[in-house]
Amino acid sequence: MTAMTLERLQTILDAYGGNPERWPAAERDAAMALIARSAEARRAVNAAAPLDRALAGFANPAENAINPLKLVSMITAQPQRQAAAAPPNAADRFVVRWPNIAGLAAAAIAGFLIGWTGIDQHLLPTPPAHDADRGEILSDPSEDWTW
Amino acid sequence: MQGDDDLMRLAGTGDRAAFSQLVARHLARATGIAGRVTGNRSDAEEIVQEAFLRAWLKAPDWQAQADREGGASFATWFYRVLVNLCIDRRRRPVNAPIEAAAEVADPNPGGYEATARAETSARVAQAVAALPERQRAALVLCHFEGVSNIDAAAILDVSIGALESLLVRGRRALKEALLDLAPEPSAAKGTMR
Repeated sequence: MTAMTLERLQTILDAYGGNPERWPAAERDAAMALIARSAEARRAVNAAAPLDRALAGFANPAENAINPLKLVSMITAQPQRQAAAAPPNAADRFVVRWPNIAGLAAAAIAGFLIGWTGIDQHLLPTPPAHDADRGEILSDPSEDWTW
Repeated sequence: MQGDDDLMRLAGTGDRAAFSQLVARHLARATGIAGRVTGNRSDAEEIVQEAFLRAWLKAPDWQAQADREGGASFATWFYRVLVNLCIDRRRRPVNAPIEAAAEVADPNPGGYEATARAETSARVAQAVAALPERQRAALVLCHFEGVSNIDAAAILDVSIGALESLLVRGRRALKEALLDLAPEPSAAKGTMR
């Protein structure tokens, strides 16, 4: 049980009034113990009582203003919109994105292999060969240039 | 018994019985808060309806919001909505409740007591209405509706120290305004502070 001082009790009374039911639950027992042993604390509690009595006379102006059955009927007649789709968790996000990740990885590997093996040279169109080179391929060098 | 948040999740699937339970559980307190913070029956009625309507419309997203915000309780969310609606509502001047109360007093032999009670209630209502809005809301939550200090602080989104400050200032102002209704006991005067 936390220690209770007269100053703290006075703050509790100033804030919550003299009814222990309204006091902070964590401090109630300590406050009651102080009141039990201190006449000054008891006088302070008594001093809070008149305002509590006056406030007790404040009737709720809206008491019984609403029929719960009508309220529920009226409100539930309103259509609810669909719940917004919850953002996927980390595992779901990985499953959803897996094809993209795999595709990127495959493209990266293919690019690396192409660069490393020089395969791109074979993909380029063959430039016109010099006559000396073509001599081995074409029996008649003029064939290649005859349209 | 199902908790409020379970009922809210069920309400989010269109379960009217679950929503009806939520209403049954919170209507009296909601009406008390709205009635005393606005000081006006018709304003309170509209505000309570609006707050419950927002709950119904919010229900489908309740689980997602709870996941995002670490499970804020329905009660804290709902009463925060309610109090904010009360505070946002343009205040109507509370002008002549005493005279009005006197006019509707019961003329039977017990009528005098009824009139006196109505006058007292009107005096307190005027004094409460004159408080700054957050002091009024704090006082209504803690004093009239028995909300714990922890829950009231959460509803008003303030620390407990700030809540107590609102309450102390509110009660001090009421004490001055209602001096004739709540005279200080002479024996207690000057005992503390």
